[in-house]
Amino acid sequence: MIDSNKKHIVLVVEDDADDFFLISRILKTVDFKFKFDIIWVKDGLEAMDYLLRREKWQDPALSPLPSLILLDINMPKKNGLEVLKEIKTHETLKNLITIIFTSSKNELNIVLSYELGANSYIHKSSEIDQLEKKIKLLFSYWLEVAELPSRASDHSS
Amino acid sequence: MSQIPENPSIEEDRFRSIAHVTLDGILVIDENALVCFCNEIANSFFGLPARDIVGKSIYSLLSDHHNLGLCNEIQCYLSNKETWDMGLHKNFQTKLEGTSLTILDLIIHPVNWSSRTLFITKINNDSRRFVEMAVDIKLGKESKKKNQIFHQKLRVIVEGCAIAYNDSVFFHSLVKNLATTLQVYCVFVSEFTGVDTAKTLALWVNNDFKENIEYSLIDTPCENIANKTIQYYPDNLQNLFPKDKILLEWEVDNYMSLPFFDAAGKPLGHLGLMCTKPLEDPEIAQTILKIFSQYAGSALERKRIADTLKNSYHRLEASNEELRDFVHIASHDLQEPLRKIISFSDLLKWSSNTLDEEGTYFLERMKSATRRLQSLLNDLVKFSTLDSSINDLMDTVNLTTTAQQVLTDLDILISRTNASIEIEDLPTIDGNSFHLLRLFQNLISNAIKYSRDEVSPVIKIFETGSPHSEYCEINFQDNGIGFDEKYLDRIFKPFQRLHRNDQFKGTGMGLAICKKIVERHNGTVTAKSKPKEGTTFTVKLPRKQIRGNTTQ
Repeated sequence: MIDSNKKHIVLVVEDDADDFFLISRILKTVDFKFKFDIIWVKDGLEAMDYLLRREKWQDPALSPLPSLILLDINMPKKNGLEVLKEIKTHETLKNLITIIFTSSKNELNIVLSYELGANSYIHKSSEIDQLEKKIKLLFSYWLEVAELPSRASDHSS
Repeated sequence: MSQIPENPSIEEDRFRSIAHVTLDGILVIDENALVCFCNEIANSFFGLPARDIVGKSIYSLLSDHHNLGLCNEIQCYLSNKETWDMGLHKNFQTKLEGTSLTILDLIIHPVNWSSRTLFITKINNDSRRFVEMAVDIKLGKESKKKNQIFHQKLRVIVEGCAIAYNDSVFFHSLVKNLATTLQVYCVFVSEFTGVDTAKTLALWVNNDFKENIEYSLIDTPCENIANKTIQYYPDNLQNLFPKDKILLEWEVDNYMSLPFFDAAGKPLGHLGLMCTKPLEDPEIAQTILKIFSQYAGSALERKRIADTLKNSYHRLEASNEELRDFVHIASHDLQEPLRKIISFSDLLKWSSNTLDEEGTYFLERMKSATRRLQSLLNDLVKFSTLDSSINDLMDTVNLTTTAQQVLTDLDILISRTNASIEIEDLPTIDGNSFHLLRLFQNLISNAIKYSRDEVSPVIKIFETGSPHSEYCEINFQDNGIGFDEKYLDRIFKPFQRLHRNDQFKGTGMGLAICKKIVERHNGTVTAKSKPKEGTTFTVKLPRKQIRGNTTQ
């Protein structure tokens, strides 16, 4: 069941360069059972462009469908909750694992995220080791343990 | 007012002396309408010497001039004793040929002189002068009738203004009702805007409201009005104030105005009228203006206070808005860089081989300072958001349950410090359960935190005072380090601390938050303490909150 040779695509939707740096560093350094390719889009508009293969993401070779999306909430133009809603109501995208990754502790955001169909909600903790633990745990769960219905496999063919 | 004088002869003498100096034509007639007295003015009205008038009937004087209708009315009045007391007031526009009268204003009312009833008959073409005399000689029933007219006018104005639901509407209905009741061309109520300037609050001209105007008082009949009790120009207005263009434009020639004042006696504005023809009754006009200028004064004062309140309210709203913005900035935007500092200092510590022991220590110090800044910001946000959230939910709160809840929450801290906490029966009161829980939590954890070395915390929570009192007194007593009571004021202020952070960790916001919670519940908090013995915090809270009466 676990295809350890398969490279996972992680789409990081994050407007903050520091946060992207931190998360990509964690993904690179933590010892996972699988490999990652990390794709970084800088706001909600670009995220939808990527997922729907628009603008500069039109070539399917450059825009493979991600195994997992890390989605910030507070972003200019289109915020994470709007992106989440679009993904989860989209016929071919709705089964993508989408994890909200935000500094917001606002309870309303948490509730809304789950209501809109987020798979998990991670708070950006300042302590790197804590963050590392959370990422490792959640990624392992969603990419190894959890079995989801058809992961939009038609898209990546 | 209307009583017949007890000593008729004195009254009669007084009447005669006034009759000779007044500008009204005065006749005194008996019940058969025969003239028994006339003054010089009456002589000149009829163009006859006194000897040709006295002894004649008033009918012959008037009928010569084809005033048959008037004569009939007088006859009718005199022949019916029951109507005597009511007097007779007639206004005729007939021209009396060969006399100086063009408009005849005739007033008859009875007096009782020397045991017989006589009738004072005034004829004039200027009712203003008549009033002066009427007041002077207290003309019995005449005054009663004037009184009736006065009260009737007053009632019309008061009723007309009663519908005013705010001060602006009041000013408008005031000028309108004054103008229509007193039958004058223009009525205005103005507030002073400077030493010599004023602005109308409502202006009525020629049967309609006009746009409010700002005007200079100089060279107008309003000049220096603030220092006067009344200003009255019965005529000749345009000649007296040639520079006042409004007088010319509106063709007014008659002016009466009274200033009004605030409670401290400071002039606020003036109420006045202007007309194109002489006032029908200046005395009534003056009295009415006097009454309503006082109304206008209190209305304006109220309006100013209301305006000030409204302004303060808007300023307060604006600063609340700013506070909310600030809270948002503090809770999010300022936190973000801090989080990064901590994250990257973690990375630096792990990844760098170049950091020696000292470097690692510096990094730790940086990180702990940043963490402290984080918690300060968090507490500041909590403190700032208290205001808006506390009155949202007022509930019935059992304080014993609240205290026990806190003990459960602080379970780990309590067992680690080996603290013993005793809770007596506490009352049930109105309050916001969430904030009261936070209050108890802050006070109890404070009591545990500020304990003496080697002495386990012993904390007692109990009620004092009468259970029937409006307020309940909850005490939080500890055996901790205590403090010098001279610092009592300081401990409840935001970010104020009595100890270094390396002695006792904290942001200095705990008690400030407590104080705010208690005050938002309309209560008080204070403390008694002795260094090295312990502290007792006493919270006084009302048992019942009056809904909608919590201080904001």
